[in-house]
Amino acid sequence: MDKYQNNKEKVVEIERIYKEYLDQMNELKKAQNKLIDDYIYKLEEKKKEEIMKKFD
Amino acid sequence: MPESKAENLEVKKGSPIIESLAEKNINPELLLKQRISEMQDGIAGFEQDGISRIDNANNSVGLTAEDVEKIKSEEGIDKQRVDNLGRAKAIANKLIAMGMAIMAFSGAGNFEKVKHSEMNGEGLVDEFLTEEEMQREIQEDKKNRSIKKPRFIKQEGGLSEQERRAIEEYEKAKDNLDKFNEKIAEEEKERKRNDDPKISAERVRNVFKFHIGSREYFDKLKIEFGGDAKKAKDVQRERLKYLEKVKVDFAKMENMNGRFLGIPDDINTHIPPWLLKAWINFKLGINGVGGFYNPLEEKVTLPDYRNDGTAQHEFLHASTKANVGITEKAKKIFKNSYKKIGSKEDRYLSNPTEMLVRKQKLDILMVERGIKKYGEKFTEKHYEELMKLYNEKGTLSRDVRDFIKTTKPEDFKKIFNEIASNEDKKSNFVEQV
Repeated sequence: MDKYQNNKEKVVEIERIYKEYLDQMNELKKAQNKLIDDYIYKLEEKKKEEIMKKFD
Repeated sequence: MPESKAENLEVKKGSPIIESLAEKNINPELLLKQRISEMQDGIAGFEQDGISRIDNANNSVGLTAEDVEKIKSEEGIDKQRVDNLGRAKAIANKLIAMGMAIMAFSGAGNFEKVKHSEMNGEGLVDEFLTEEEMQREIQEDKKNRSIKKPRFIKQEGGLSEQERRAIEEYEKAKDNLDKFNEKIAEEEKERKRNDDPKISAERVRNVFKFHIGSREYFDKLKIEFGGDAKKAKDVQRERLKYLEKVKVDFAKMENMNGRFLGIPDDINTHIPPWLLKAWINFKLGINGVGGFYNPLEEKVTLPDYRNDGTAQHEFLHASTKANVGITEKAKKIFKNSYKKIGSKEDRYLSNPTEMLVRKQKLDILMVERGIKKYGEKFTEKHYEELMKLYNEKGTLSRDVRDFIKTTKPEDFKKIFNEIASNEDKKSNFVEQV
């Protein structure tokens, strides 16, 4: 196998791995964003609750 | 590399970016380096984004700190965020390992093959002799020299007084020379024995066993346990057991990073050194290791040449089985006294086991340089003397410099007066090391 072909195959493998990393990280980012969104929602709900109490 | 390489190429025909990179004959090693760096940046960004969003929300929502803490705890937000980060790191870790495998197994590449000919017994191997072969050569040489050496030929009754005295002088000088050579050979043997990494490592281990088993060490442990002698005794026994039990292995420095990552030496020679460093940096925040302690295998790995500093460092880790045997009080003191330096190394250096080892190296140094005697309380004066040494570049070891750099000045007294160390006046241990 010549050097050019060998390098080419390595490049393909590296890029495949990198793409896999990007895909998995995207999933993880989505999960984390949802987690934080839910948390922020809970904080805001608590604040609303506090404000509503003042009007009761 | 899987057998389906050619198929993969076919499958990836649909990816124009990958195809174009491959067609351009990009250097795979450089590409991998860049991709790993991007992964590391990506994970750092992922962590920072999570922290910033949560902090912003906490600060802007207008709730009391107690309420925020309560919701945080109910939602388990910190734990989940840390879990996510762990997952992200695991993904990158796995992919870096795969990258390594590609570089190692995919045939002839452009990367370094460290001392390949030596490893395979080709080329250079003839230049090295085993100990046995060397001894045989020396004996051969002696024999040859004794045959070739000039001799006075004694002629019966034909020696003048002058000749007889000359022969006597010669024999005397020869004896002296032989004795001198023997002495030199003996000294050389002793020097080699002292420099033998196995012997010097065992010496370091024995010195620490002696200290940890001392009354003075026990007294310091008692302080850590608020006067509880039973606990102090148990911990002392436990540390001695760890130290006694730990196995010692040796590695060539060029294989040390690979060994730390669990890569066999023969595969390690095919992996570019920068890639091993990147992986270690990713795991620990430092660029490489000079030796290491594996608490699971209860084994220290040291360089294959004498290096007492590294042996001390790793045996000290072994004595507390890394963090397992460090008291909660000591951990708390270290946690509160750590001064961040604002680099990736913070993660590694703030680990209590690393702080304890460095603190103990500083204990050794203070006795060695006559700064603080055993039993003496640590005072402002000692701190000033340490700082003087610290500011004189090149006079302190890296471990000691790291400790001074990352410890809050106001906490030195607490650390040195309340945490058990390996200093012991009676054992005179510094000289023994």
